[in-house]
Amino acid sequence: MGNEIEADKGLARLGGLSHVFHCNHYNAHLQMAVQLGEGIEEDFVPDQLLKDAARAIAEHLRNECGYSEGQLLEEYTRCGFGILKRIDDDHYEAVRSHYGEMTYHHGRPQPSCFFDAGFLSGMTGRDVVEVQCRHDDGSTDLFELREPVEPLPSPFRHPDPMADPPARFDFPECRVAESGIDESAVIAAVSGMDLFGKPEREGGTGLVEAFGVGLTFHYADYYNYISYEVYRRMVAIGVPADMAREAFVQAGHVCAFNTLGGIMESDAWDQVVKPMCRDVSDWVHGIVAVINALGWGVWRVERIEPGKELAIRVYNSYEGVGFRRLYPADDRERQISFLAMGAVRGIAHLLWKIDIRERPGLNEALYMKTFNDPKGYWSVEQTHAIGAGDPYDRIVTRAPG
Amino acid sequence: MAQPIGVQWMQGQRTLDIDQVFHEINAERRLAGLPQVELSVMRVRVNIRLSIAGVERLPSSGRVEVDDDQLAAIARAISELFNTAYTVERLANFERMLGDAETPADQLAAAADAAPGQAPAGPASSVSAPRPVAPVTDAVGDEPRDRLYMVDFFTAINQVRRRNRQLPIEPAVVIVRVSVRFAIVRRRRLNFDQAWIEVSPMDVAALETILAEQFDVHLEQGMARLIDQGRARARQEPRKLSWVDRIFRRRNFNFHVNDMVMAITRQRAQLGYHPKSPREIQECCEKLLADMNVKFRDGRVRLTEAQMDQLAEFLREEYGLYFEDLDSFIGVGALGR
Repeated sequence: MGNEIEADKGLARLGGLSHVFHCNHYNAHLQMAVQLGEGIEEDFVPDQLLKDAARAIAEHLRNECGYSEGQLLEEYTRCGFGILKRIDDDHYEAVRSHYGEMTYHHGRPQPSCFFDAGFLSGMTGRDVVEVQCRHDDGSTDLFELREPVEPLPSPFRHPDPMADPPARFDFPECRVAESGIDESAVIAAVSGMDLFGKPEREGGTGLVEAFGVGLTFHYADYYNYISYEVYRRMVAIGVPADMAREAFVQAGHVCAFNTLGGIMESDAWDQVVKPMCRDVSDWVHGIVAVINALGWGVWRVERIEPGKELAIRVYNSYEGVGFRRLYPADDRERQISFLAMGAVRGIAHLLWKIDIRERPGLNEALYMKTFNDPKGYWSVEQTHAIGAGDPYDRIVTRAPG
Repeated sequence: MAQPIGVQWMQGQRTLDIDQVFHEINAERRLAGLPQVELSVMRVRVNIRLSIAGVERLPSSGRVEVDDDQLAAIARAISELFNTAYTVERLANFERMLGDAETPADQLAAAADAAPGQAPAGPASSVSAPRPVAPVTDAVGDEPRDRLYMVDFFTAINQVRRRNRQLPIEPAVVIVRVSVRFAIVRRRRLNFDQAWIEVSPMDVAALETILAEQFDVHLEQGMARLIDQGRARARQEPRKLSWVDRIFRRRNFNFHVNDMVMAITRQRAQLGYHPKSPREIQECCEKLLADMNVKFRDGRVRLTEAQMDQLAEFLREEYGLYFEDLDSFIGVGALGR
C-alpha cells in the first residue's frame, strides 16, 4: 500500500489511484447532476450509482492494494471526507462529514451521503444504508451495516493513456511566448501547503477548509464513473447532449468560481503569485500554474486574447484519462471533459466578467448577481478530447457576441 | 394460498411489488381511456406524497416491504394521483383473479385491447425498454393543453425559495435541470427559450414534481395558478393581428422610452436577475434605436411593426426577458397607434 502522494505527469496518485482536489460546491453540484438521471432506465438508480462508485474504489483498495479497514478509514480522513467511527457491530457514525456538513442540495431534504455509505460498503463487504443524515435533520450521519455483499466487478478495465506533456509555450500552435509567472515556484508552493484532513488524535476534524471552501482530495475514478455513466445514458435515450452536458459543466463552473476564485482572493495568492503578475494574462498563467498542482492534469495556455478568447490544452486530464479507464476511445463526441469546460469558462468569467483582481468578495450573492443571466455567458467548446483518442483535451472559451 | 398480485405477506410483513402495481394502474387507466403514465413519473410523484406523509419512499424498482400504514399511504397516494381506486382492499381483491394463468394486468390489458378506440400500446411494451426522447416541444395527442408562460414559471421558483429563506437558484441552473428532468420523465423536449410552452395536465404534473424534487419548491395551488395567471394576462392584452393585417394595415407604435425601461426593469426584478440601473438600460436601448435610425422627441419614439420586432428580439437577447409581443410587454397604456 502506498501512503505517499506521487506526482505522475500532472496526476496525483495515492495508493495508485488518481486523486484530485475539489470543493464542496463541486461535490454538491455534481451529485445533483447525477441525480437528474433518475428514471432514465427502469432499473437505473442514480443514488445507487453514487454508492456503487465509492464501493468499487474501496473494494479495489482493500482487495487489490491490501488496505486494512483502519488504513481505509485513515485515507478517508486524510482526503477530507471527515471522521468515521464504529458504534457497534452494525453501525458507523460520521462524527464529522464533508458530504453531510459541507455539501448541499437544492431539492427536498433527504439522506445524501451516498459516497460515505458506498465507501463503508466497500470497506466492510456489507451493504450499507444511511439511516440518519444531517441533510435530513439528523444530528450526525449514521450508517447501518446490513447483509454481506459480493465485490462489484471493477468498471475500470482499461489502462491509463498517459502522455508526455510539452513544456510551457513549447508546442506548435501556442500563441503565447512568455509569462511573468514562475510555474515551478507556484507548483512547489501549492504542493507544500497542508490541504489534508487531520484525525482527532492530531486535533483535527477530518475536514479541510481552505480558500473559503471545503476541500476534498477525491478519487478521480469516482467523479468520472458517476458522471459518464449518467451522461451516456441520458444521451442514449435522446436527452439533447448539449442539455445533459451543461448540467455537468455547470458543476465545473461553480467550482471555478468558488475554488479558483477563492484561491485568487487568498493571502497565499497575494504572497506567492500576485507579485509575479504584470497583467491580466499573468493572472491566467498564475491560476493555471495553481491548477497544475491540483491533480487535474497538465494545463497549458495556448492562446489568450484578454476579454475575447482563452484556449487551454490539458494533457493527461483526469477526465480524459478517467474516461479511457472506463471505456474505449470514442471519437463520436469530443465535448466530454465537463469539469475542464466549466473551469476554463469560469476562469474567463472570473477575470473578464467579475474582475477578480478587484477582490469583489466571492459569495453566493455575488454568484447570483453575476451569473443569473445565462445570456451573458462566455461560450465554451472542447475541440480535442483524450476520451476521443486525441493526445490532449483542448478547451476554447469566447466572449458573447 | 394464492397471493394478491403485487402484494405478498411474508412473516407478518407485506412485500409490495411496486412495478407490478404501476403496471396495473396503467392497465386500468388504459381501460378507462386515460393516458398512460410513465413508471418513473408515478414513482417520483408517489414518493413526493410519501415524503410529505412522512413515510419511507419507494425504491426505484422491485419489491419493498411495507407495513399496514405504509401500504395505506401508498394506496392513498396512488388513488389521489392517478385517478384510480387502488386501495389495500382493492389489492386484496386481485387474489381472486389469480386462479387463472393471466395476471390482472394481462386481463385488464386484454380487455383494453378488445375495447374499440383505445390506445394500442400495452403497459408491458411501453415500459420494458427505455423510451427515446421525442424531438418535439409541445404537448401532443388529444390531451387538453394550456399555456405556461416562462416568466411566471421562473419567477415562482425563486419567489417560493426566498419566502422559505432558501438561496435563490440562478436561471441557468433551473433551465438545465428542468430541461433534463422533463426530457427524462416525459420523454419529450421543451424549449425554454420561448415566451410560453404548451403543456398538458401530465406535463404540469411532471413539472410540479420536478420543482419539488430539484428545488424544494411547492407552489401554492400548484402550477394551475400560474397557468390561470398567464391566461388572465393574455385576456387583457390586445388581440394579435393576423398576418394580413400586419402586411396591409401598417401600424406605427408610439411610446415613451421610460415606459420600456420600466417594463424591462420590472420583469428582470421578477425573474431575480441582478439589477441594472435604469440609466444603463436606457442608454443601451437608445443606442440600439439610434442604430435603427429612430428619432426621439421628448423621449418618445415612433416605430414600425418591423422595428418593433427587431427591438423585441434585442431585448429578449440582451436582458433575458420572456414576452410574446413587445407592445403588450410595454403596456397598452403606453402605446398610441
